[in-house]
Amino acid sequence: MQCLKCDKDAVITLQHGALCPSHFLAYFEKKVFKTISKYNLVTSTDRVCVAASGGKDSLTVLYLLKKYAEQHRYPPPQALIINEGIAGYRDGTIKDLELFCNEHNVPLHKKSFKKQFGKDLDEAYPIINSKTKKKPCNICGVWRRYLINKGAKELDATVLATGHNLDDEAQAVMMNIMKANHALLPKLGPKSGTGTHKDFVQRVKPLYFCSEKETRLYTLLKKFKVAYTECPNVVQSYRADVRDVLNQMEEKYPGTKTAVINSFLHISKLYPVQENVNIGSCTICNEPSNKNVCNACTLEGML
Amino acid sequence: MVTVHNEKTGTQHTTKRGSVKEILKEININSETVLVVRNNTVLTLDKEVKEDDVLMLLSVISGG
Ligand code: SF4
Ligand SMILES: [Zn+2]
Ligand SMILES: [Zn+2]
Repeated sequence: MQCLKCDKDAVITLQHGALCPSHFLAYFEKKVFKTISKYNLVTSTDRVCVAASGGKDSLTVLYLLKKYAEQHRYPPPQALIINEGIAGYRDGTIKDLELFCNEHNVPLHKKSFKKQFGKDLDEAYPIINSKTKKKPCNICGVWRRYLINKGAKELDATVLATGHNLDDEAQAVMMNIMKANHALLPKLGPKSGTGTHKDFVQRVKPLYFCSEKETRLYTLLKKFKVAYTECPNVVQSYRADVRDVLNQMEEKYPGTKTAVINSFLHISKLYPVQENVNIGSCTICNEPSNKNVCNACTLEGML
Repeated sequence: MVTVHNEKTGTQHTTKRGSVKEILKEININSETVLVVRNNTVLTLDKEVKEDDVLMLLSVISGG
């Protein structure tokens, strides 16, 4: 297929037409920059921290937020990575991220489960599981969210950018609807958790309208080094089932995922903005929590 | 025959020649989940793949 805008061969077919490498790169960057400005994800006074993993999404976010900051003369972003301590997985992606940050001159900060909670995920999991039956991802998610927020605050960041993409968001919308988790729906969106606790750093998702496929193609054409690795703890979760269904629908009916997101954005205007101002602090670590002891400290207490 | 390497599974298939779309269908891969590369060039689904071509499937889904 030929590019919509020139006579070169296309590398991707989008809903509005096919694009060659250079026209795709321009299209992708424009889309991300438009998301940032339209939803006010980053402003001139923000200090941006990118929650990075070394995967395709976080490298793309890091690269484009840096480019955006340079164009607008905003403060440059910093990167934060959490090492969960998962053998055979995280070490590789940390190396990729270190290389990338070195090459692009981005300050990189690291935090680890081991340092914060005394044990790697691999060590903590069997102990906590024997008492609670919790899966690795339950522990990993709680501790990672905790450390990302804490780390961003320590860097004095006003904005925490994540690599969440269109696929992630469409999955989350569908999951919350199918499980009737209405309370969680207002937390989605390009700028989630607006108007929450002062101790939560504002989260933003510059890749909100970019599919996994587009992002992978972007990193490939930009020659970012991204190794394909999968966490050994990945299971065929509810989310993975939703992902598979959405991909089947998308293949048959192109535009399905974008339609899910756009419907959600439309409906979400009907929700009142949540003001979680009454949230308290953990009596052990002082981080924000709606319980006396936060989830992260509760898990740590079992070790 | 066409040889198809899969980055994610590390496996290799051989299939009849045809369009990229037909080949993915033949080996049961959803076209939303991969980029199809031949000689360092990404192919769209309509592209015809010739006899003896070698394809690489790059997974677009990151794990973890
Ligand atoms: S798959 Fe589970 S354990 Fe692995 S990184 Fe993701 S949340 Fe953590
Ligand atoms: Zn073009
Ligand atoms: Zn706590």
